[in-house]
Amino acid sequence: MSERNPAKDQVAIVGVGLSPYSRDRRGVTPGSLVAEATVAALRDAGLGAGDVDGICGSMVAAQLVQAALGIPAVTWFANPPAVIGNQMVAAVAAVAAGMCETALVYHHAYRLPWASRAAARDPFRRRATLGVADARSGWGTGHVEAGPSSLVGAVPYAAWAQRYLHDYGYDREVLGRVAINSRSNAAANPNAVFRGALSMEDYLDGRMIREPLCVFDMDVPIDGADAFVVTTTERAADLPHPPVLVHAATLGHTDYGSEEQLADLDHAGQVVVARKLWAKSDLRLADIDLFYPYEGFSNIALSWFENVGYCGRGEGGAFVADHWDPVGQRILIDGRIPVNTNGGSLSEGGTQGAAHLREAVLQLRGEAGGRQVDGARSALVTPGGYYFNSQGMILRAP
Amino acid sequence: VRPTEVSGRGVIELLTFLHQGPRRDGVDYSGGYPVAAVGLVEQPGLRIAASVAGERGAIHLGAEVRLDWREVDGRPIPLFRLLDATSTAPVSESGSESGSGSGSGSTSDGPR
Repeated sequence: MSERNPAKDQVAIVGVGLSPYSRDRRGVTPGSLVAEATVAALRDAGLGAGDVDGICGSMVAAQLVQAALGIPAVTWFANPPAVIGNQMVAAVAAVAAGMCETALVYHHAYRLPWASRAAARDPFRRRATLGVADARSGWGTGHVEAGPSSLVGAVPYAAWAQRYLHDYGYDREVLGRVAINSRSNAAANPNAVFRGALSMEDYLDGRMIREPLCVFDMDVPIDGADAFVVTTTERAADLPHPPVLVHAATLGHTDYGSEEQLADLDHAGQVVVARKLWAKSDLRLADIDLFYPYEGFSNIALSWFENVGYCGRGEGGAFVADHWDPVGQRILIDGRIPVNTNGGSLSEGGTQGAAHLREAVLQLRGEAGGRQVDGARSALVTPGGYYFNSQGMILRAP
Repeated sequence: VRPTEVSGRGVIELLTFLHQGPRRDGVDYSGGYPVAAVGLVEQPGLRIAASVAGERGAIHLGAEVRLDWREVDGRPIPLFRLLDATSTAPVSESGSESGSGSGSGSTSDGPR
């Protein structure tokens, strides 16, 4: 696999902004969430609308954001499907190639009526999403509502989790530790929607949704948005915050595009991501200070541990148990490297990896408040699942 | 690419039980509604997803099944039935070949 990486350290994340995560917001739309986050990100970067010449978001059209923010002229824009690596990798490529110099990147989550009882009671939300069975169907990534007797979209993650427990002789505790880790870390994150302690007893008592995944194994439906400002490392030197350099970034996909046809976890997109990421990077796994494995379903994170090289296939569950900090009730790799310091999708809120990325940026800027990891200089961020959205980024402080 | 007739026999390679989901005729989530990806004996790695009829305890990874149909609202819906509640085959791709010998019963042998 080619090691070519002309964008290495040439593009930096110079601003982050969010629309606060919530399980019960009313009177918001996807557009208003994204507008709030993008304005915050631009202010954080010390830039104005006139400085932006590239826009790259998920579901909310780039043109809508441009109009809402009054950005006078852009030379590049795109709306790749979620999840966040698709937007970030595209923007990094565009900046590195000169399609634009400063790009806004964003993603939002919006609770649809089926997502929770609170959402179902919101008449505005019901009307705004009329006729949309599952907003993720618009992602173009195979997320469709196909009825209860099929294995497409989100359901097969549960089936692959069952297969994982079966093949490697684990019980549900190995999934539970991923959920408890997220919850323990969320306690120090004011933006997290779930901050109360979660014990293994609580986890095992959790309402079963799709065996073996219970309610604590599944990301939390929220309203919220994240935005990022990306520009050249050269320009970043003039901006207020220390830049966070994109050292290596990639997407990964295999020819098993359909969930139930995936031969096994050795043929998932995560494997491609890890191989390419380490080929492109000067940093090695031992150089990484922070790890953000996506855990929209808890078993996805165990697979990331295996694929990035912390352990072998099937050893993720044991690895997490072996690197468990009983005092903090969280994962601490080699007693040093915390995992999903923000609380991840399972406790901060489900935004398909955007929160993980924002947290990595804040940590590398030294601005993560009560969650700050002393001396953190590099982060490995791996959004996405198995089939059509595996992604990886290595970020570092200059 | 052309249609090819298959026996409808296979092995459960992926399995979950749904405890909630959209309301549908003939779908009962109480106790868990099984959904499986079945590897067909004719071609390793070729899977078909559907529900499985049978007792909860007998539906497991590696169980041998045969395709059947049920009618919901006048439309045929694919459904797998257990060939033999005691059979177990490896769930790897090659397992669907080695497991094909033991499941000799007809669909009527499967628990309903």
